[in-house]
Amino acid sequence: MSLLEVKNCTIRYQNGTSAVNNVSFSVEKGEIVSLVGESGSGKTTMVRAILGLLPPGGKVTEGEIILDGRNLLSLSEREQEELRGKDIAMIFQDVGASMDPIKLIKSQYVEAIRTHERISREESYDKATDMLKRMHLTDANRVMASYPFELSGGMKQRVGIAMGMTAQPKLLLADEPTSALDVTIQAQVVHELRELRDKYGATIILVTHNMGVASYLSDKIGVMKTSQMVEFGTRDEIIIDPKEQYTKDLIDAVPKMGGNRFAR
Amino acid sequence: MPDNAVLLEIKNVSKEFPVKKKKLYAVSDVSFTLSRGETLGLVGESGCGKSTIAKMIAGSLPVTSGSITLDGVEYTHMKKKEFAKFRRSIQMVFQDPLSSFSPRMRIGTYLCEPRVNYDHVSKDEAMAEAEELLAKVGLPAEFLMRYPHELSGGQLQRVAIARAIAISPKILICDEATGALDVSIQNQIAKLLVELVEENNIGCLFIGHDLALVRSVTQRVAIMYLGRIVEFLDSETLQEEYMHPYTEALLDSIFDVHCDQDEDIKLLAGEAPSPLVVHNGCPFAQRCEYCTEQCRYQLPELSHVNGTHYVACFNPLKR
Repeated sequence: MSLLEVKNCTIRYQNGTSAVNNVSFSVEKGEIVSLVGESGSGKTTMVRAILGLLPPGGKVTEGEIILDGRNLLSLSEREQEELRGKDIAMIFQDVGASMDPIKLIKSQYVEAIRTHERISREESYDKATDMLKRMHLTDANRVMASYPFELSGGMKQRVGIAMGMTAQPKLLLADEPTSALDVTIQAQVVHELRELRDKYGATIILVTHNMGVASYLSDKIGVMKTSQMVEFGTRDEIIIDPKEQYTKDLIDAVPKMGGNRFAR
Repeated sequence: MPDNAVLLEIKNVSKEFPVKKKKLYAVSDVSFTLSRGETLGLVGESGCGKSTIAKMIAGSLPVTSGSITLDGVEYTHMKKKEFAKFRRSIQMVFQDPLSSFSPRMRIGTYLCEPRVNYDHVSKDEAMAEAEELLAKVGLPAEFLMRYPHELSGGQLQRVAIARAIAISPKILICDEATGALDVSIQNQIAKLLVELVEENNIGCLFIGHDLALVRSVTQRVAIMYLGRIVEFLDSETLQEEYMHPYTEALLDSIFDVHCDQDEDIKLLAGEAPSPLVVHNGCPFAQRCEYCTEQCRYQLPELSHVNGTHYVACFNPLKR
């Protein structure tokens, strides 16, 4: 059985427009699955629905989202809250913006752990530093004693991933986790995500518009266009042997180092 | 090909910002030239000073030292009134098109503004030109009556470019002009820019962080690190001829669509050091795997390799 199954999912906003239209895909345990496509194609809406956090007015009108045998759509608000952070965690594009600017990392991190687990502050602190070290933030104590603004973008992103992974969720949702970062820092974060899966068996759904990152990390890729999933398959099926013209165009459009130049 | 007449010359330009009691060295001793019909790429990570250079060329930021000359006229110390007329020769296109538009101004009015303000042409005349401009950037005339929020990001960026070229500038500066756009749109804008630069024989400074994209629209690329240019390269042969370890790191950080998943990523450890600290040696020394004792206390000068290739490194990669 797949860890996550999305079946014929349609998501509508109040005005009736569908942001996701009849989308189906599945994610096996320990897999990295990427959703790629242009802005507005519905990839972010899709993962937010899995998390149960659609923007106001958004609703899954048809279909099912099944995590480990449980239909997420039939859960009560409370059950959903329990699920979030424990079974499903999310990291956002700009982790800095989701942090409290006037609280130390330490207190935010410990608080996040203690909402899900009944353990002491000291234990939570140790757990947090341990996780930060796994994310290659070697000076974990200094990071814990910093305010968000004192950390660089790459460090904040790693803190965000560490926070998401502390409760060892079954599923990690990553919405454009590297897009706001510089290329060399992006490479570091991509490396951490890869390691999460290879070393710790994490299951990750990655939303990205960067085809290169998707190609490097993914086991499977879903290509979305105007709220539909135009193609879903293994990484090689999508990257090496795409069937749909749209997928081909998308891959061709990516600037490549050895590629054609427009300038003479 | 660009003709050899130098249009823009930047000589030993530095910019320091006072931060509390310290100084932030945003740009240090940068020199380059730009010819007519040439596009020069400026690549580096955030905070390396690329945008500061753009602002200094556009005259919206005074230089701390050094000179900038456009068509033989040094303009860094020009009087305000004089510069108000002069600055039309330098136009900029920014990253986020929507935030550079007034939400309540119609596209037509927006396109007319520069001609009416600088050249005092009548509104009707300017409107007729605006229509031609729209056609030039591949948009229909009915867009004149639209508001910015009715256009997509790519369409808006075309309008921004149309406005920039409306008063025939000599220099066009694109600061991450395609950064916020989807890849397919990004290519269209890149192609458009290349065409316009060729057609109007203007000089273009193309700032970006995507080396592959910058390479595709430029003739030469300058790689920046911590306020200094560390390497000048020919775009065509960039990949074969780079010699600076930082350029190598940038190239290694690109994820190719057809990459090998089993290959380990070559990581550049750490992050760029603070520009608040004065470095005696090479700015890249702390992160460089080829760093020697010399690199730590002596600053490597840009030295000529061949053609348009310059590199600032004591231990350049062997080719």
